[in-house]
Amino acid sequence: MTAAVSKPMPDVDDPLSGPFWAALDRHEIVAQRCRDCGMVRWPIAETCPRCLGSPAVWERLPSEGRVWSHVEYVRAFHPAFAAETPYVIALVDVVEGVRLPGRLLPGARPVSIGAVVVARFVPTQSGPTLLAWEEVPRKEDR
Amino acid sequence: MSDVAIVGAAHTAQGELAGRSANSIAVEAVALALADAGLQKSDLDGLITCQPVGTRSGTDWQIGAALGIRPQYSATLEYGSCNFSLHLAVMAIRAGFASTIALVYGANHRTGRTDFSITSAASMLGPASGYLHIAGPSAMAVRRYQHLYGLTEEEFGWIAVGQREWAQKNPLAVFTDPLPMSEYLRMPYMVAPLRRPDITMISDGGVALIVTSTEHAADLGHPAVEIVGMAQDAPLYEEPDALMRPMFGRCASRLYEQSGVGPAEVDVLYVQEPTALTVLQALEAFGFCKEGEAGGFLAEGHTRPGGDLPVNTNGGQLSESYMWGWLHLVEAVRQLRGDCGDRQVEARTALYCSSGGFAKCGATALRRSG
Repeated sequence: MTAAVSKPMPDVDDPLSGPFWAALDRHEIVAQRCRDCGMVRWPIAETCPRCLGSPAVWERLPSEGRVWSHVEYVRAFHPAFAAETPYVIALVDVVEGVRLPGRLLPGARPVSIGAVVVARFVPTQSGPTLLAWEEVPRKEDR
Repeated sequence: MSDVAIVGAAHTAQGELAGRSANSIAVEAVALALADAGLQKSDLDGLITCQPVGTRSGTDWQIGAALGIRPQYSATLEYGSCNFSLHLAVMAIRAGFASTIALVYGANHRTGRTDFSITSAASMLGPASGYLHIAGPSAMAVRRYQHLYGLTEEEFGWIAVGQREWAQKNPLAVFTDPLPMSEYLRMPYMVAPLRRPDITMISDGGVALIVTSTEHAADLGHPAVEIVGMAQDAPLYEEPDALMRPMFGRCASRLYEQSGVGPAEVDVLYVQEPTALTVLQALEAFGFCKEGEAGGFLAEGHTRPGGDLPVNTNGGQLSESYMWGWLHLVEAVRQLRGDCGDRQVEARTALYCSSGGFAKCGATALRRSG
């Protein structure tokens, strides 16, 4: 038996991005908002790419969004995910400028682009909570 | 007429070069390119190297020492495709930093088992969820494109199938097994909607070019291949819908405006392709067909052997070998020289488009002297 390969995981103790991972633990999606110019900063950064200011406050974002696109990993590109194939990854527009990848949880039907999905917060064995998405059931599915 | 030309182009063996270091492969490539140009290493006064991704090999410090040269100018780029290296060489020659420059890339990614799974550290959200490798974002863009424009799997498949047809005419190509459309459509997905033949292979090998002034080029053996236009675009801060590579369109406008070359003058097209997606995107951005019509254009056979816009006549990274785009320029040079045997096309002007992920791209127009 070969040693298990671990998944690429974030450093949740990183002072810059730590608050993002802590928020996922609380089942919230957050992003920095620039104190100087008010822009939502994504990806997480030390300085504002618009005004070059530094200070930011963490602000809660909506826990839903629309699918920009989605793919299905039939083959894993990293050995740690081999046992989980096939799985779907969706890119989801949460607010303007914030497009977040995450697993798409299996639903009643294949997801389509533009579908509204809600965030699901999935604990992992190694620590951090990860973001996943699930399609909001349509009326006919209820 | 241009002031700078490519006078040497060469590659080492491709595929698996077990036991060879990336730098020794790079040195071999420079020696071969010098021989192709009919020059000695003492003729070089410039060196521009390209580091294989994810390694510490391939710096100008290392390669220059290994080559035993003391040039007037040297530099290293840590991103590939050779377009950026070529542009830097042209700028260095025009600025008088050097007159004859070797450009080189050498890698042992295949036998060295380089990990290509994580392409960006910007956010760990994707990698931790299994959103890995350039194939993932590329597949996202293909799916989005299918949604917007109704691209069929068969239309998209003509990129990989067409390049395999070219590769079967290329003795260097690593993948030459027949790949008819029926077979392509039977291949399993790797990251749906991308199948194995849509995604670059990984290989060991080296490539080098020799670039000099057109004036000097006239004294050498081969017909010189002149640089008649070059442009770049660098949306380093991620732009909306970056996966659709809007940067290609800006790069194309700049290239065409500056060079006077237009899509009608381009006889043969090269597109560096981490996946087949970039070919789809470049066909539209560089004006060979309208937005949303690349699928139909591909199905009509323009890009395949016998077509009127041959694309990646070497087989590209999907079928020939993965040299991070460098072999595309070698092939462009050979086609313009008329050295391509069975796969030779009628070509005076070639265009080469390449990218660094979704945040940087370059394009070069090349023309045979005379």
